[in-house]
Amino acid sequence: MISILMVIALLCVAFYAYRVMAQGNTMALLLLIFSLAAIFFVFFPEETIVIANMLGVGRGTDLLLYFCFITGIILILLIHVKFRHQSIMITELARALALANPKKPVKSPQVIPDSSHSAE
Amino acid sequence: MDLTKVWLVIAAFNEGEMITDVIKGAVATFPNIVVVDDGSSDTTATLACEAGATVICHPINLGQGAAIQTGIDFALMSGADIIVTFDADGQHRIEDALTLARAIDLNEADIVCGSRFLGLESTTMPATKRLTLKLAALFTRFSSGVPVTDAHNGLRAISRSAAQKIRITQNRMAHASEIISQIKSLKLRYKEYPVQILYTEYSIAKGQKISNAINILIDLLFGRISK
Repeated sequence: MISILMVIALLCVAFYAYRVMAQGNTMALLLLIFSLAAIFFVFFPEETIVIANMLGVGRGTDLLLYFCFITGIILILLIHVKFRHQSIMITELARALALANPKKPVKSPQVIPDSSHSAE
Repeated sequence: MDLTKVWLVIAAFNEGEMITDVIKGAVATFPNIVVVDDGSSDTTATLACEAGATVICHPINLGQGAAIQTGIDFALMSGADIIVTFDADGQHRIEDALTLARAIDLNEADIVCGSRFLGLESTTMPATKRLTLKLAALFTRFSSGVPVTDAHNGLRAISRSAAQKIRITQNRMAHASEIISQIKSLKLRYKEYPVQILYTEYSIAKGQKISNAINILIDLLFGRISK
């Protein structure tokens, strides 16, 4: 039963990767190969031990666990960096918007510089 | 010193209660004031405008660091020779701001920061706050290598050339430490002057909570990793 669910989920990933690849993103090829390999291991789970032993891990299940852990950490870091870049862009955008519309003091003698200065 | 070339930069977030008094108190000395309203939900922007300040409104709340950077950008666009950052809650004294601006005018340094721990100790500073601030200064001294005695003082004066180089990317509260570390990396001349902080009930309530020190550390850590 669980293998059916796994295969369905992985097929979805493979299909998505194929679509993205067709749009010209070659990096999606990695994801495609990856999901197809995962489907293979759903049907032949004992084969993971071959790779596990190559990496000095006793059982395939353990290898999977370590692998998930490393992937999880890397994903979190990548998302964090991406998030930071996004917030920098939002800041720049909000700042440009704010600087383009300065509100001059209501009753003040001093001359306010030309507000048509465009924000960079 | 030509005060028309000095710009006071005030970052404000929901400071409607105090902003009018703060600006009216300052505008007599400093004719150029820019208030960066950081997405306040109250009438801070209107009040600041009526009190005699130019107001720049962030469309969304970005944080104090971002607001100060926006204010510096505006002051530079307006031809400022000296930029003074000043808090919106009325805890800084005008005479201290003048002292710092004068130090820049006399070319004593590129950036001059106010310090609460150089003699003019405030009698109204709560003891826990004093301890946290001293620890924060110690941390900044270690991580930046700049011998600061007070790392999180909002009162600073910056020369035009230094302000053009400094770039605050820490949108929230870690910007104070970020400025210090840029002093080091940009090789700016740095000086501290004793200042007095007026701790009122209002400024204590609006100010940094001690617990926020942890958030600042996290911001700094992740800022450094993702650079």
